[in-house]
Amino acid sequence: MPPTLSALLQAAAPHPLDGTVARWLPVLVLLPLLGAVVNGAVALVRRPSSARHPLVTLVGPGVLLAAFALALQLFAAMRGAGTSLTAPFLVGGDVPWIRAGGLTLSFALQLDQLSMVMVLVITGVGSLIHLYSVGYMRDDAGYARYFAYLNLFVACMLVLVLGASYPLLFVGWEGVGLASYLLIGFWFTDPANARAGQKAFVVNRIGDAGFLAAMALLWSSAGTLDFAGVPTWLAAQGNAPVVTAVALLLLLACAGKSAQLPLYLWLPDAMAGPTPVSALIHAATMVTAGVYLVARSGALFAAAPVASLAVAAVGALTALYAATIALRQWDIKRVLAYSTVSQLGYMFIGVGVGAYTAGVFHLVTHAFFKALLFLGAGSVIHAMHHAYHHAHREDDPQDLRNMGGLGRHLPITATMMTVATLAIAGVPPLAGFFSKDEILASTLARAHGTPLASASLLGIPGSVVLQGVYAVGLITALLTAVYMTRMLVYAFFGANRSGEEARAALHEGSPIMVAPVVVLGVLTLAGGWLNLPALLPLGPVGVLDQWLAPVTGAASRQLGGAAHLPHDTEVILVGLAVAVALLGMGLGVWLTRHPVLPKAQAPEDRSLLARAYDADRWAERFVVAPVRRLAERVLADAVERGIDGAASASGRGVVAAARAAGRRLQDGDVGRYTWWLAGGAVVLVAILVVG
Amino acid sequence: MRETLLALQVGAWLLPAMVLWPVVAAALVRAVGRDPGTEEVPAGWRDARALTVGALAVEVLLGAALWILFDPAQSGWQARVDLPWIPELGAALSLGVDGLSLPLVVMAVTVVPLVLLGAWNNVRTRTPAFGALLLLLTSGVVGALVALDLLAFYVAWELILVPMYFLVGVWALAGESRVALRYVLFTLIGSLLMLVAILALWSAGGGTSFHLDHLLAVPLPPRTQLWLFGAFFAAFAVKSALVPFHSWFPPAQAAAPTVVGVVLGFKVGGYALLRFAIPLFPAAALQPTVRVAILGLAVVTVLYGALLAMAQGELRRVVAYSSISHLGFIMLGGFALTPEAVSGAVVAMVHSGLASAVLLLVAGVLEDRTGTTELGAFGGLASAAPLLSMALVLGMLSTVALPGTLGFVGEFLVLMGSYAQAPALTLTATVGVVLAAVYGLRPLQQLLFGTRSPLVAHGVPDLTRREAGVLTALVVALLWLGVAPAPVLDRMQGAVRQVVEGARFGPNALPAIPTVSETP
Repeated sequence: MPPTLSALLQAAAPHPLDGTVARWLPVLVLLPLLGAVVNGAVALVRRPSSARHPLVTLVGPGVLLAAFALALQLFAAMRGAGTSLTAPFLVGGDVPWIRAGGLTLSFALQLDQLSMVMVLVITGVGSLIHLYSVGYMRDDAGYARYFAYLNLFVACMLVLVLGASYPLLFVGWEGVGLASYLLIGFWFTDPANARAGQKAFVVNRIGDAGFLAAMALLWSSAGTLDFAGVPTWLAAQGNAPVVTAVALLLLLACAGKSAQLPLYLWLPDAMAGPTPVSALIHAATMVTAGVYLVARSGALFAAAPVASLAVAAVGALTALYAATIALRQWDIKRVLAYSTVSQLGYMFIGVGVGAYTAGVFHLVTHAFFKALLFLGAGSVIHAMHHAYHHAHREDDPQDLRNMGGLGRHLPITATMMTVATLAIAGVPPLAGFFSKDEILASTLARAHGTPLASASLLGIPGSVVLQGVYAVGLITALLTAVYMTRMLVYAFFGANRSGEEARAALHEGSPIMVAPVVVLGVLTLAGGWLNLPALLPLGPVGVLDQWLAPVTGAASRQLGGAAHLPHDTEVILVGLAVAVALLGMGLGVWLTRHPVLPKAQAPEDRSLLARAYDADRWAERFVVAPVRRLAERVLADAVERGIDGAASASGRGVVAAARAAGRRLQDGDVGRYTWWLAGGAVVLVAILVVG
Repeated sequence: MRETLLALQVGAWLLPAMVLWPVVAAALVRAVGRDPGTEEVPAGWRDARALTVGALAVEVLLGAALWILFDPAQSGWQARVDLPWIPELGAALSLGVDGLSLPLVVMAVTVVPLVLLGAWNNVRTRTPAFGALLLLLTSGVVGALVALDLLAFYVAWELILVPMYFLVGVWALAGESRVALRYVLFTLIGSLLMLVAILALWSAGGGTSFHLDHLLAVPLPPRTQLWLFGAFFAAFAVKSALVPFHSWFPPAQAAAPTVVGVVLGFKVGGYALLRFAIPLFPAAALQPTVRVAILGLAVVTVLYGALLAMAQGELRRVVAYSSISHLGFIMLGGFALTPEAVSGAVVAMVHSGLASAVLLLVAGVLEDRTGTTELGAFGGLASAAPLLSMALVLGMLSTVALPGTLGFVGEFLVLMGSYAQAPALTLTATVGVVLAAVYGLRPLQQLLFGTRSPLVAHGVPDLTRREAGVLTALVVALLWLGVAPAPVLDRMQGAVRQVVEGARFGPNALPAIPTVSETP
């Protein structure tokens, strides 16, 4: 049996981070948890309205900023330790959670380079979004409740990325799901919002069942659920089928949380939540948990090339599928939602082909530009909402057809949104260009002569799968540029379609909403420098790659060997990527050449893409409805009645038999039976008492 | 604290006191108690409800003493007492606890007074009789959990039945008293079979003793074991409402007064399987066909209960069917018979009592305020009654086994521990995790969210201070034990090991436990 975590802890050599700020790691989790408790208490005490409560304004974003400050300190400590950091720093291994039989779980948190990247994104982007929320939610009666949920989310997300075992990761995993459920249904008086939250939770639970099953397999086969124990087990197992099974079950879990085919259905509906929530949870952090889990389980996926190929294939299919839907959405948040699904697909390609750095790199840059896009969209919706309110009109503030020309009224937002659009479209030297390019290049580089290429998925050789994934990724890049340009033009350029009265009231939000957007804009501009390719002499090369090497390097090499593209090929690929981006943007502009009518006057868009391939209807018809019918008609109405009837009949049979026996005592009156029993009991008690 | 209790030799009388005090108190409550008075003529201290809660509070203190006295490092019976009873038959009043029964005893004696307190106005008629019967019921539950003598166990088992019959029959919702008859009929048939089996076992053991330790050592041919196991299993399956022997349970729990419904949901049947049926007849319980059949029934129960819970339109029935689904996990863990799975099963029993208490209390409050618990009648409670909503949400989250709640600890351990023994069935059971999300969130959606229904708009007063206090205590227990279950788990490890090893290596064991791997 592999060593348990506590044994490892006791046996561990002194860690370079011993005695540094790293020992305060649990505080990182406790800070937002404390915020959730305080804000929750305010929400309960200050009914019916907690709008702009000063304590909440102080505590809500305050705990996040404090956590971010601590995260920076941790980062500095890790930088200080330098290359001596080869093992994760563990704390809390002596705080017991569940222990029974041979299973021992603790609240051990671990800090390594991968967790650090995630923590910085979560607390950094999280801080910006908390600040933004102060402006966005200031007039909402549920102000305190909002920040309680948002703080709770961050606490759970930090548990997710810091937990040192699968079960503790799972605590965060389902915890963020709960926070997501609560926040999607935040405005719960509209049943549709609450239903969207419920849908998110239930669909995620399908993935979570896979997670539980993966843990059951792992536990029964490996005898450990700690990350630290997995490599030992893998060394003994080799490429046994159980490894692949565990990896595939984890993929199911990841597909749920990270909204991949076929479990993506919940994410577009999740846009019912407040827009900063969409930015934080449904774009920047929670939905990337699946990518994190694959990277965290790198050793496991590296030992199961088939599962890795499956990850990449699912990612590629999802990327393309969602991108096509985004081409024809009119709700600005739905464009961004499908875009998120699509971009998550890219990340899956990255971690699927074993280019863990590339996947995490795209996770980080995506967190920057997609959070920016959502916050920008939030500013637009906020402005539109107030403008309509001002004009006493009930109109859809999220529909692109009601916008147009907003650049003149929200110049900063428009500028920043343009930057983000260029980034996601893959225009150099913005963040998205580098990360997306690295994923595509890594995919192609691994298509020949690597363990991944020699594996096969459903009978298709790995090299063919990888080439296909590359092609799909490239097409998706084109579509990304198209739909994002379309969105940008419809929202910010051309003539305004909001109506004269409303137009006059359109303006930027308060500084606290503008500032985070600008900061994200700067990050979007500069994010690419985190991991520059050797090809372009712009600065230090592969910083993130070197940073993550102690965590994912071995797994990456195991899957990809020394995959490397010839210099000329690389140049061609970069040229191709840039050409695709520019072509896509041109197509996007071309697509918007005809003026559109405001939503109220426009005919309903009944195209297949606008209806998102009717996937919701299919799911309803082939999954939800049959289960409901099974539960209600078959089981509740028929089977349950049958069992009930049989039970009653047998009961009557017994009574009748007793009657037939004809004895005075057993006259079938159950009431009398019980008297006899009671009497008997009394007699027994009496015997006991007397003697 | 522990030293003081040891010095006072509390262990010598603690368990008899826990069994007998409620009986004595029942007589007192019946004699002295009065129905709650009116504003003008208050019942004062003679209010039978207050007397009952007071009597049960003594029971809580005894339970606390038992918890403190219990030595986690020691395996075997603790606080053991053997009083002569019917020496001619070899029956003795042998009581004792181990790690299996301790958590359940403490949970039971704590939950009953809490729920009674929380559902203060649930029963306002004939309260002296109600209180007396509830006390007798408590005595029966405690007795069944601590009895080591099978005849004493049988008496306690039936002692649950009699007060329960009246508690359900007399105080059931209008027009529902028939369910009491059903309950009695069902469980009576089961327990009479068990009585016959107990007597057969006693005579096979030489007719000298009913003590479990004595009977465990009686060698039995596998065929005999099969018959006797069948009789025990019938009794316990019916009592714990295993599908398809469950149909008495949802109507009974839905119609019963809140506190009675909670006690009905205690998984005493599940406990008895682990305590008696499996250790006494391991060759039968683990006989491959029997085992596959029972594990299969367990998984069917998980899924069937969850699906039926999804289809209910009334809150108490949702709770009842979710309780059935949980029983499926308990049975899966029990018959998987690994230390992890059995620990998970016991934790799930404790959880089931606590979670049902929260949810049935909330249902009782709704009933009290509006006269209905139909899901469709509500909407928008989240803003109208936020405390009640929060209690419901947290109780439901534990029911659907969200990590960080006690519900997760049990379910997780069962799933982890069962896989090695029955992979296909365990994987099938994980589907129940998905269904739980559906049946758990559906009532929240209908009750709490959306616009306020006319009923809610009319005004639903939020929790009173008493209700809020009780629900807080229960919810905190669910969360606290979800985060720190180790004290409970540590205490049961010795007993769990005994059950598992006894079934594997005991005199009546099969040579090896078969793994249920080739199930369809």
